[in-house]
Amino acid sequence: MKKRIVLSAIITAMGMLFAINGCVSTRVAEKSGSELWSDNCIRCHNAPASSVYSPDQWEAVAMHMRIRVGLTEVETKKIMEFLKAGN
Amino acid sequence: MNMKTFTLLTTLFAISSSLWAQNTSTEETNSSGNSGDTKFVLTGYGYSGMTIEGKGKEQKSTFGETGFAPIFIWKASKNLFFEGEVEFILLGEGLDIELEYANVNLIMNKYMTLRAGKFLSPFGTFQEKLHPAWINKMVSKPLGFGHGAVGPDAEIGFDLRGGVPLGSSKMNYSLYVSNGPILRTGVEEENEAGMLEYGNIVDNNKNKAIGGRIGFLPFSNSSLEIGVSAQTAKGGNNDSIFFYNKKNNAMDALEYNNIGTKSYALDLSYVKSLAFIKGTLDIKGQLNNVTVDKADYADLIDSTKYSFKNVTQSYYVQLAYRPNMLRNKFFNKTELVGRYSALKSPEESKWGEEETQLTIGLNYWASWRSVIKFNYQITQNGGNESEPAILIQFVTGF
Repeated sequence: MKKRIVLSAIITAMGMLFAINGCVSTRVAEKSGSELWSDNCIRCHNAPASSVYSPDQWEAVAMHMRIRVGLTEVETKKIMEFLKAGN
Repeated sequence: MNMKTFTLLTTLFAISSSLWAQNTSTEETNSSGNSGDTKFVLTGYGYSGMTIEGKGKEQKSTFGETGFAPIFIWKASKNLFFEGEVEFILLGEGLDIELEYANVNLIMNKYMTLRAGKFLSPFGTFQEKLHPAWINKMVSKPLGFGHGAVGPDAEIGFDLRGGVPLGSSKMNYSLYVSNGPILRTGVEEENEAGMLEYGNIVDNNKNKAIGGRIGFLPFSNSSLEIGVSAQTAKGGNNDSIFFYNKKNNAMDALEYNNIGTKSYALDLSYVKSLAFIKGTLDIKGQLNNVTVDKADYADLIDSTKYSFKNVTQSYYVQLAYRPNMLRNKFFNKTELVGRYSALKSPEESKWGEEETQLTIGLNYWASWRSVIKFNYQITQNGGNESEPAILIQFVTGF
């Protein structure tokens, strides 16, 4: 009984997630740096403003985040360029 | 190092070298001359707090754990990178200094980075990505996820990792070879027989741990991530332990060289800013399970040997909501958090326990990485009375 409730809760939750995100089908590679910044940073922490680091520092921080969370190369480049441009 | 591990390492090295060579060759042709410029960042965070524990006349309060963790990040060239973190913590009556991680990273190609050194275990997401005080939404860590965690918390070895786009989805992976865990046999601390020790600088045997994690993000907005992690290793070595066995009225030898360990973790994260709730919803959870092969341990007080089913499990689920789309400048910086965690270690061992914990919290974010946290926490240990605590912590990143 308990297992059925847990299973039903998981299936319902997954269904809701797919319903909320169902309309999102843009290819990751086609997204802008600003979209990728807002999508990815908040997965772990609040999104930083571009003024937090200098353009040179953003290069090092972007590489750190690429390796730590497994960002793709395209995502990393776009996010870094977006943050560097905002300085 | 056994043949299987040697073959795996050699294969990884051969694939990596070949891919790096191709990548470097392309980049050298296209290079604009900027490669090799060093970019350095000194960042990190500091924290301090207060704890009020117990109830009634037994209540006590203390200004709590204070720590400081500088993080050093170097981008040495287009492909070479170093990261290191040292954590200084005032614990009990002393200062605890720990090298959290220090590793050299070589980006081999678009999809693959090889790193070597000490790194946080990619076993689930909490230890690797969510445990720092400026990221963790609670003052405390979930049961079984702090120091002495269920499952590996740090590795010393080699790790191959990366992110791969899959159209409107993506995945990330990590595959590592490390010193792995050491099985505590009870020689140094009798009550810890059967426990595993992680992050070992020197291995106790020739076997190497092999582990990894695969994370899948099905939506292009990266809101949902589901991960599976596993590690397999041998924890014992060839040393025998001799003790007087009262039952046989003779000396007895205990062997641990074939004692294996198998661990797995499942993790889930869903983070999304939703206009209809005027804020960001953050759901996280992780389940860790560690199984150690059955072994005999010596009970030096009774002069007997004993064994037990050595399975340890912990999990947590956390829900956070921050109304960051509200116009009110005070309320859009507040965050409500709730977390339930549980830990179950072998009942028949000398360190067995069963605990559950419920924590509710209110955070106020002064900046993107500075927060003051107020937590109310109830910990239930087996059938004992619950222990309430109020935890306050101020954290600032720099």
